[in-house]
Amino acid sequence: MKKPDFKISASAAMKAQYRGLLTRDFSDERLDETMSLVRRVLETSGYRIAFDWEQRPATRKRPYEIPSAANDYLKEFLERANASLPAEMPEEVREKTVLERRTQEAAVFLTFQSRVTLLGDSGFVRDVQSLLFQLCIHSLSARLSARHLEEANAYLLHALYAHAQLAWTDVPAHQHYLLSSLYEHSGDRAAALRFLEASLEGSSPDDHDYLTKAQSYWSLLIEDDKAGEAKSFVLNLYRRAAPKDLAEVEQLVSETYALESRVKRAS
Amino acid sequence: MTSDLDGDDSEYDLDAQDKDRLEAQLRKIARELLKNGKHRERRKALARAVEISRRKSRRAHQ
Repeated sequence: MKKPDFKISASAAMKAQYRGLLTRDFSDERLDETMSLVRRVLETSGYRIAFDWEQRPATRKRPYEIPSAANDYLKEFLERANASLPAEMPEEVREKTVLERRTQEAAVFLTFQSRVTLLGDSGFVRDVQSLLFQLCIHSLSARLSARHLEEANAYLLHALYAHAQLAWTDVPAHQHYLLSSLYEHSGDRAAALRFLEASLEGSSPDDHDYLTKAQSYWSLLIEDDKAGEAKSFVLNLYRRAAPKDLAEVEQLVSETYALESRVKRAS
Repeated sequence: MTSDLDGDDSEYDLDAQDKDRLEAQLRKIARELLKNGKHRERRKALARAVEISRRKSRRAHQ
């Protein structure tokens, strides 16, 4: 079935907010700001989003007021009714609920392309989603794991996978990079290395992010005590890196040798 | 330097100088974090650097 078209129109203020978010650290606050930005772009373009919990009134009942003129019978009745009201929700349960709601919101925003075909500023939406993707890994998923919310975390990881598959088929280098981030976060380092290698193969050494992705690959090898592979990788990198990056690649080469000799001394 | 094969970067991207400066800082931080065994923070720094430096998307055809 063909998805309906949906034209995105992002204002200059929204684009400026995105630029600001890019330069700031990954934190819980940044996650909230990025989610709000995605929502604002979609809603101002005409797509109304309403999650279940936003349409329901607060469930916690307030105590009944007891009129001063009430007779004893009514006073006693109302006092008993107030005593039987449920206690305040514990902080921990409230926090869990908030995190689960954030997870559902993030999943909807990340997989929006499954509902409609985006037109207009569609590239802007997916660039903000890409930032949201990383914030979900480094902030939301980490909090879900810390709270042992495994089901919500699995749901989030599936949404992240779906985002990479839905939004980036025409940019395989970034799609593979996102998948490598997801697999590294999930603990499958072999898959992370494969996708990172595929991402590097699809990138030009002149691209701004090439050296950063190469350093990510090198870091994975070093962390896994594969100094030999890391050495071979950085020496190959030196041969193909852009001239402006050579000084930094030389640093990676020296650090690889330094780390290798430290490991040899220790063994 | 960004490849020009597909034209200019989008209007909301950072300029090349800012990208170079920010990503180099983050890569340096990531190398220090790696040496100190702070792998999660290392991943975060490099993911930030990639988000900053990667080529941004452009408008879709209508």
